[in-house]
Amino acid sequence: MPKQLAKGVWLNVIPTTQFKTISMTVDFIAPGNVQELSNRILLAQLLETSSAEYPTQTSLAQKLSMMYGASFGVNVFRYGLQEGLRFSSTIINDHFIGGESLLNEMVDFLQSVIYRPLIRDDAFEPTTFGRQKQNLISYLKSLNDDKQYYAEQQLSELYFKNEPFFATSLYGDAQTIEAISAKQLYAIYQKMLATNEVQITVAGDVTEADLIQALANWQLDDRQVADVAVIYRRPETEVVSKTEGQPLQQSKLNIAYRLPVYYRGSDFYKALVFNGLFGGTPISMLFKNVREKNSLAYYASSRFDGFTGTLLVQTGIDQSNESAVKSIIQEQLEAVADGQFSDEVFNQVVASLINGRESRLDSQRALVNQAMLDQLLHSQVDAAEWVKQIKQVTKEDVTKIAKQVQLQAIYFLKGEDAK
Amino acid sequence: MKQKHYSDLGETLYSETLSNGLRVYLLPKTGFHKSYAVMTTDYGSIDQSFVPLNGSKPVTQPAGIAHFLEHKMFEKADHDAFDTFAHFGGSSNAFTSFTHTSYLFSATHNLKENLETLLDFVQDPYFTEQTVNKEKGIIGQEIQMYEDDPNSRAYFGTIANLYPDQPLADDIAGSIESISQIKPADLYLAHETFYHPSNMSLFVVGRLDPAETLAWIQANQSAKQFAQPAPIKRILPPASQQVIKHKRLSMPVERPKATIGIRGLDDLPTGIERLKYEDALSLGFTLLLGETAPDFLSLYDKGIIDDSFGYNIELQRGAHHVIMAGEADDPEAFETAVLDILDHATEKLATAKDRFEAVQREAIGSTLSSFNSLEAIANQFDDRLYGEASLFDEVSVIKALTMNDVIQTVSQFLSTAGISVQEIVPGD
Repeated sequence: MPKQLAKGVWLNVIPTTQFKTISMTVDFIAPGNVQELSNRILLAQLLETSSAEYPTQTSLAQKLSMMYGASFGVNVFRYGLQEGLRFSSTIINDHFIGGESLLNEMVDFLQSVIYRPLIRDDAFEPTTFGRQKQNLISYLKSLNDDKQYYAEQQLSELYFKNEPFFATSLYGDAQTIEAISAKQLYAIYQKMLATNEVQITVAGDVTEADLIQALANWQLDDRQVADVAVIYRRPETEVVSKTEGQPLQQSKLNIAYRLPVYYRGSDFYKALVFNGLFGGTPISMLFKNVREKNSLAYYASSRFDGFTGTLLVQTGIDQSNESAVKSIIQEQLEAVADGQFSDEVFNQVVASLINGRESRLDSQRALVNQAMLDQLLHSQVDAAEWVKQIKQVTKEDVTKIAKQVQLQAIYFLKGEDAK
Repeated sequence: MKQKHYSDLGETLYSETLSNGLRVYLLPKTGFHKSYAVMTTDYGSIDQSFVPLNGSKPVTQPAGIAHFLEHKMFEKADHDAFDTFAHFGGSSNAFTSFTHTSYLFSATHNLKENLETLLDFVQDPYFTEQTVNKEKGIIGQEIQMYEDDPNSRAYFGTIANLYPDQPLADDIAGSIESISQIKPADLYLAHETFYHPSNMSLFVVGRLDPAETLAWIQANQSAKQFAQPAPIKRILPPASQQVIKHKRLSMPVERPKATIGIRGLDDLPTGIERLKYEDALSLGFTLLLGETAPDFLSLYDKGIIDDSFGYNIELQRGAHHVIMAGEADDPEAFETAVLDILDHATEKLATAKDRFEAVQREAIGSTLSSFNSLEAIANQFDDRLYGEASLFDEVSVIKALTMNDVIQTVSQFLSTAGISVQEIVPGD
C-alpha cells in the first residue's frame, strides 16, 4: 500500500528479490495542456544532462559510473488528461558489489539533480539551456526520418486536430519549444516542484523504512492536489483523410478509429480481446490477412488506448496497394463484428494476452509503472484479477465491441519516385 | 547434466550435450513468472557458400537465404507454428544475424508444450513453390522498409565498406533481386546442412526445473532420426584486408549522419582471452569517447557531436569491428574530430588512469543488470565464440582487467588501414 509522506506526496515500495537491481522513479504529475507538455519535454532534456552539483554530462556520467553504472533518465509521460515528468534511476543490489550500499547514494543523487538545477540569476544557466534547447530541436527534426513514427504522428494530428494536447508528440513540438525562455522555464519548474502531485515508486530488495529514512531531507511539503479525471472521452467527428507524397520505397497507411471504451471501465477487457483478435497480436486477423494471406505488408497491426478510447491501425505497404489494403482492413473489422472467427483463434488470442500480462511481472520497469498508475487512478487490478477478467470475455462480447468502432481519420504517406 | 554455479552472479547454469549433438543450457530464475527459450543455429547471412551435408561439391546460394529460411520455417503443410505457440499461450519470434539464426518463444504457462513446439517446428522443414513465392512479397516489403531507414542504411553501408569483398557486404535480408532466385530446394539444402542438431544450441531460462526440462527435451529428440553429424565446410572468399575508405550517400533525411567503422585487422585470441579482449576494447572506447571522456565533452560543447552519438563493439565469427555513429550538422568536422582522437588513442589512454575505476565499475554494473532480463541472457549467450567461457564469466573478467590490458588491446585493434567513413547527406 502506498504511504502518504505529505499531502499529495506518495511513496510506494515494492519489496522483491527477483531482480539484481533497485529501481526508483520520482514523478511530478499534473493535468496536462499543450504548453505544459512542451515545457516538461524541455525540462527533461535539460535536467537529464546538468545540475548545480553535476554541471556537465561528463561530471554527471562520472558520478553514475562510480555508482556501478547506475542508470539515470528524465522523461515525460501522458496518461489521458494527466502528464508527468519522471526522474528514474536504477542501481545494483548491494550484495552483488561487495556489500557497498548504493541506496542512500542514489536517493541523494536524485535529490541533488531534482532540487538543485544548474541556474544563474533565477534562470536556467543560459549556455547549457541554449545548447540543450538546440539539441532537442535537432532531435525532433531527425525523428521525422523515422517514417513509422512520422506517419503515426501525422495521423495523431488529424485525429486529435481539436485537442492539441493529444496531437503533440511526447518528444515535443519544435515551435513551442523554440519560444520557451530560460527564466520562464525555471519559474515553471519551481512551481511544478511545489504544486504537482508527487509519486515516488521503488522496486527491489528494499523496505519502506529504508526509503523513508533515505528521503528524510527531501522538500516534500504538503500540496493541494485536486482529484481530477484521467480518462479523455473524445467526441465523434467527421471522417478526415490526408495523403502526402515523399520519396520513399515503402508507403505507410495509418488509420484511427474511435472506440468509446475506457481503461478499467465495464467493457475494457472485452476491448482488449477485440484488439488482440483484430490486429494487436501476430495471430490477429490483420496480420493473417494483410501480411500472411495476401503478402501485402511486412507489418500490419493495431493498438488500443483505453485512456482516450482510440484504436490505431498501422501498415507498411507498397503504394499501389493502398485501396486493396484499406478494403482488407475494413473486411476484417466486419468479420469480427459478424463473429467470423474460430473458437480456436479466439482462445489463442486470450492465451496470448494472458501471457503478455503475466510476463510484465518479470519487468521491474513495468512493476514500477503499474504501481504509479494504480495510485494515479486510485484503483488496483492485479495480474490475477486481470487474467480472471480476460477469461470471462466471450466471442459475443467481442463482436459487440467491433460494432462500436467508428472510422475517424486516415493518413497515407505515399512513396514516390521509388528507385 | 553439468552444473556450474557463478557465485558473483547468484546464478547456476545447467548444461548437457545430447547424443544427437544438440547443446542444451538451462538457467532457472527464482521469482520469475515466464520462461524464455531460444534455439539457435550457427548459420547466418554470411554462410552463403558451403559444401552440403553428404555432398562433395561446394554451392553458393542467393544472398538473404538464411533470413528467408527463418521466415519460412514457421509455415507448415496444415498449420503455422505461430498459432501452435499461441494455442499454448506462447509468444514466438525469430531473428537472423550475420552468423546465427534464432527461434524463440516466451510463455508463462505450458513450458513443455511450447518447448516441443519449438523443437518440432525448427526441425521439420516444409517448403513449396507457392509458399516460397508468397514470402517474396513480404520480405520485399521488409527490405524496402529498411531501405527507407537512414540508420539501417548507415550501419549496413559501413559494414559493407569494411568488408567489401566478403558476404558481410550483403544485407542480412538480401536484395529483392537475390531473394527472387530462392527456390524450395535451396531452402531444404541449407536446412539439411546447417540445422543439424550438432550445429545448434537450445537455451531455456526463467521459471523451470532443470531435470524435468531436460527430460522433456531428451524425450522429444530421441524420438527423431538425424543424419550422422559431419563438420560443416563453409567456403569463404580469400581473406582480404581491403577496406573502402570513404562513401557518401544521398537520402531524403533531415540531418546528415556520419558513421565511422573500424575493422580489426588483427587476429583475435581464443577462449576466455577473447572475452577479455572484447571487454578491454569496450573499456578503452568508453575511456576515449564515452560520456565521461573529456574529449566527449569538448566535442559536445562545440556542437560537433550531440546525444545521438554512440558506438558499438561487435565481435562475431570471422570478424570484429567498432561502429561509431551520430548525427552531425557538419559531418566532416565530426569525422576529423573522431579520427583525431583515434589517432592519439594510446597517448590519451595513458593519461586516463584516474578514470579507469569508474568505467570498470560501470561495465560490471551493466553486465550484472543484463541478468535481470531473460531475453538479454539467452540472446547474448554464445557458447562457441569464447571457447569454454561465456557471458557468465564476464563480470570476473572485467574485474581482473587493468589499464595496461586496455592500452594493449586498443593499440592491437586500431589501425588506420581498418578505418572507413560513411556519410548520409540530405538529398534525393
